[in-house]
Amino acid sequence: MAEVAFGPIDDQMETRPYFIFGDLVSSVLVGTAVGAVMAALISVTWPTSAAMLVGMFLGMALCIPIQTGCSVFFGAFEVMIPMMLTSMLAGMVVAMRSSMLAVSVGDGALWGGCIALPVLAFTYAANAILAGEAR
Amino acid sequence: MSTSAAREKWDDAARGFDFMNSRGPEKRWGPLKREFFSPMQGKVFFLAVGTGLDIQFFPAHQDVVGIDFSPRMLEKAKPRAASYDGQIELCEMDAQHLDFADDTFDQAYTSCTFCSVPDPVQGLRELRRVLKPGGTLRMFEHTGSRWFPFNVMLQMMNPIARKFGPDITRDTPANVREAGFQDLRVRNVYLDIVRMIEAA
Repeated sequence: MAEVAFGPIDDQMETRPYFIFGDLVSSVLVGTAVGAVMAALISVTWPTSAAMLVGMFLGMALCIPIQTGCSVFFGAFEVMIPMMLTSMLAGMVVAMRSSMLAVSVGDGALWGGCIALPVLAFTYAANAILAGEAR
Repeated sequence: MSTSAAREKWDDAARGFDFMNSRGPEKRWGPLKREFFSPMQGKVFFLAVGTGLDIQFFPAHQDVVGIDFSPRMLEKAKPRAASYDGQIELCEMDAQHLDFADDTFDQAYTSCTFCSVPDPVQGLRELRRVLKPGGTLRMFEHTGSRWFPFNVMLQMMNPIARKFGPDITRDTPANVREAGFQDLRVRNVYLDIVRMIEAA
């Protein structure tokens, strides 16, 4: 086969400010929303394991409409992956926390928004490792 | 999913397709897609053309035949094909049963196509049949992931994704091999989910 395949990728990291901003806003938005909903919904009367499962699945469900809206402006999979991970984790963590102690909606939102940051960093790091010529 | 059900689904999706894809995804992938399509030469086959969003990334003065099995998608692609600085012929056709003779095309391109063809291996076998010996297949596709947690997440999302659009868990490089292509080269564009594949 002729050596035409693909040109070199000099830098796999997203460098365009619009898309970096979009990734950040999308993930923080969904984390904040899921965290707030979990704090409002889950109380200390919930068993922690049930709260964790509800948090995970409800978090993902809540993510779908928000992600659909963000995808229109910022991209498909690059937005979907960190948003889904954030919503799962934020849902689980805030729901478990709310089942153990009283968490205000504002605190839940803050926790959810903060969870988005390491998740986004993780997906950027994973992309830096995986993107490029596949082995 | 049967071919007729898939056609119906994509006919329905044609209404909102440009709204969902023409800004974020196409702008994000635009520079890569321009590079991806840049080696076009000879008689080129493009499967599936959709609403023609990718035509803007084609190099000028090419001779392209584009197919899609959704009449509504093709209707939206017509103005984009008409404004292309080159030759594009659009046909309504099923990727799994191509109406072209063996060894017709020098190159074949796909762009987010084999997530949606009901029987991807059959579609790829047909592609191989209509490619001339030594012809190249170039694909810009999204696939499933091998890596946790992405693979689990895509599996969980897939039932919903398939209801309204594509399958997001397919192992397209494996399907390309199963269809008889060799000399595969794969470049991951985003994680191991959005990928460029070249095969001959």
